[in-house]
Amino acid sequence: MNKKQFLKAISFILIALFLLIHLTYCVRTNGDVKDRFVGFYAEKKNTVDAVVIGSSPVYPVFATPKIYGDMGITMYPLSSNMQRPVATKYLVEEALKTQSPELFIFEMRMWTAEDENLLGNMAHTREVTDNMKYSVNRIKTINAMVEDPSERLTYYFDIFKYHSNWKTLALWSQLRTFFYSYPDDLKGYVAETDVGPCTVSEFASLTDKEPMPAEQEEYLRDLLKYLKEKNLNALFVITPYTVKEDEQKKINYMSDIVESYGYNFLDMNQHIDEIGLVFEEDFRDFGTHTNVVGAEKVTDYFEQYLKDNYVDKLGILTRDHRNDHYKSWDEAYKLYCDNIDNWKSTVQYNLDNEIYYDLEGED
Amino acid sequence: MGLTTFDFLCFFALLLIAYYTLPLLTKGRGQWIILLIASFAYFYANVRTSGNYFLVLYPLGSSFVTWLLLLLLSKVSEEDIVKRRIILSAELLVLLGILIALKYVKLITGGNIATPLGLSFYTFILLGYFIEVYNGIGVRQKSFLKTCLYGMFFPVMISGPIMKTRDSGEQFFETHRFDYKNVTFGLQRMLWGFFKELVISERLAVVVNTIYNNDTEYPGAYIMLGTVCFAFQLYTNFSGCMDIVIGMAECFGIVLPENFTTPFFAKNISEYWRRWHITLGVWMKDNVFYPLLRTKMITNLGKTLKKKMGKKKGKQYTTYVAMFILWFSVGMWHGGEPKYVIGSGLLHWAYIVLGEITLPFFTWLFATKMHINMQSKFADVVRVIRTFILVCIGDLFFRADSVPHALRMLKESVTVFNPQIFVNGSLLNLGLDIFSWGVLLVSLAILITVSTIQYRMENSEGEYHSVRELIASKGIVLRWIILFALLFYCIFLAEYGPGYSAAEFIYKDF
Repeated sequence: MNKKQFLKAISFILIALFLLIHLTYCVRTNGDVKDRFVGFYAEKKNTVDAVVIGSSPVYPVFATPKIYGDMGITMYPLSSNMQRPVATKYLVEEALKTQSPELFIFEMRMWTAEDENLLGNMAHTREVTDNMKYSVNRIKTINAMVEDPSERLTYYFDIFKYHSNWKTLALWSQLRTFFYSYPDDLKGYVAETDVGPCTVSEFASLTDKEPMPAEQEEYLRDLLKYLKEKNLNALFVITPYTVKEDEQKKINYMSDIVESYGYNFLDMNQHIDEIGLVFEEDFRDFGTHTNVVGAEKVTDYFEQYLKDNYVDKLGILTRDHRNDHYKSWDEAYKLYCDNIDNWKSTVQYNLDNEIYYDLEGED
Repeated sequence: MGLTTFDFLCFFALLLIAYYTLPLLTKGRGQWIILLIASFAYFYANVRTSGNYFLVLYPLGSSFVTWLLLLLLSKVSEEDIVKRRIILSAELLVLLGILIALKYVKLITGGNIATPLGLSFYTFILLGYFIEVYNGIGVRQKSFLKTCLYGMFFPVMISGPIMKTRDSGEQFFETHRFDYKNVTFGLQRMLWGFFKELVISERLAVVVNTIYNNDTEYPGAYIMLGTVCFAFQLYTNFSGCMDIVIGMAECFGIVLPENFTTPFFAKNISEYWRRWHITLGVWMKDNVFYPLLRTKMITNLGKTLKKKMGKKKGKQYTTYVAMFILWFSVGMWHGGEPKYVIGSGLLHWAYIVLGEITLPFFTWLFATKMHINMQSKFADVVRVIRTFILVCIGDLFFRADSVPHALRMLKESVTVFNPQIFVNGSLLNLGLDIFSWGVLLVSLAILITVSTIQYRMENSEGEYHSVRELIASKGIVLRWIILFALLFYCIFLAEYGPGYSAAEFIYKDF
């Protein structure tokens, strides 16, 4: 093989790999999780102040455009459905590749569950691994999340799974993800207008403790050590929901661990009145995820919490990016403002007419 | 480890690197040992999941017996016919004995006997090798390990081709330096094989299985459609496998015999069999048909028939008898079940015999009476269609569960008239959605176009002998566009991935 042939062969392989990687990005299953991750990668370098990592309660509860509009803080959720705690550290690493957030926020609801109980639907694992760009960190994430090495192949090369989505290549919403980077209109926030009435959990007031699942405790301690090593600011939160007895005990338990490392732990279930949350109206699906009305209340409360505990106390998150002309964030806030009244009206309409969220219709 | 799995592709890539780099340390010697080790590894990988490690001993044992008996044969003088025949008989007895015991006893008893990979392929290759040496037209390998490579060369163990060691054997032991053209052409051929198997055959399998597994619900035109689909499924599955195997060997610098040359363009059944599973036909002719014609039984029959029917007809009918045995053997090779004996054997014998007997009548009818130009292109097209229909009838037996099942389907295909299924959306109930049908039809169009170009090249004295050569003659931009298009067509439209169980290569079981 002469030099010319060698160069041709290498060029062919490189072009093939480039196309394979980027076309795979395009055919990855579309939806809000993909939009959120693609949106995160689209954020300009070092422009995100806070990253929220956690499962599905995150993206409908923190109205990130509103936080930007109210405080000038850019906060972005790297969340996916039933996100397994084992993924957390790797998502922090993923975020640090392009951003230098002043604060990491972790939603801890999933940490009360046994990992094996979160494994029922592998789609939840894939929502993390298959929404990351190809990198060494992605390989590490797969190795951590997929125990059986023989099953990892289709995770490393997710084209094995998604090639059958070729039909979606006709959609602009898919083609625009060729570089896995496209701004998300609402900066990861998903406005839910369904209503699912519930009542406040009687167990939220429990002070008893019960050990969290051993493997989750291990992941938590590992994460805390990692955060310390990297000198990262972190806040651990429980967003409002109808907590069960054993969950509340585990939350109390993990709260002690987190605080022993010097980090704040905010259990919002302890502040329902301050938040002003009405469980009968503010939840989308009977106590698990908030709707836009609930989100607005939680966000207002959370903004104040950030101000008191981080802006004023620690002197971080102080830069008001509204003065920095962050165009996409300005647009997201405008979109939020333009729609919030409509969204709230829909919630009210649903409430008035007792049109409630259909649990049976969930995937 | 199937040929279309990711594991296999990794195995092949590593092997290719080892094949061309390790000999740099040995000054090019012993390259064949890498192929032998890879073959052992491949056999091992195939028995690993079942735990039937002893299955590796079958090809190894057959290779050993062949090597030993050829060693004995080399010590016997040419004139000692009796001893030579005893040795030949021993070879036939052992190798065919194992084949029959494993393949046909299982069929008769209905038991579940584990069989080694490539049983009939390595048996026929080793027998062919032995007979060539016995007849003085092949060269004996003194090394046992080299004989093992004949009997275990992994690419051909899946579905052939049944190579003649006289033609292909010596290449294994020559030094092959990395040749850009060989490797790139080999990889292109493999890609074409993946296209046939994973894009076309796997989709056709869905339609075929739906119709054949529920034939009472799908009579008439469905059966016709299912059978045509099966003809293409079988072709793309088998020839796709051959493309992968031959392409793989090409990457190693080894030229294996072709097994297919556009068979659906054949104008009669004899020509079809010169284009379909060529190496089996050649093997059967060399080792069954011609020796059979020389047997006392057939020569005596010939004499008797010549006396009764005249010289020409007597010879003709004697040949038909020998051909009967040949086609019966072909049918038996396919598994021995009556449906194979008929569908892949005796039915084709009947086509050929009836074709020859009725040829004068039809020539008179069409040429003399109806004044049809039998040399015209139109006549050729009609012949191609006729041959394809006849092949499809054989394939119907091949695919059906049994002969009675095939007969029932054959009847239902003509007694139920329902051509409306082609326009009323019924085809969408056969397991493929409209997009998959679209992909299938486009892919078949690509296949037929490429086959037509290939066929024309074979029948003309042009500059290029293959489509690959034609593509290689184009500028780099067009060439790469074609290659990338095929590559990504396969990656995105092939049927594979988690939760998908790809069909095996159909001929793997033979």
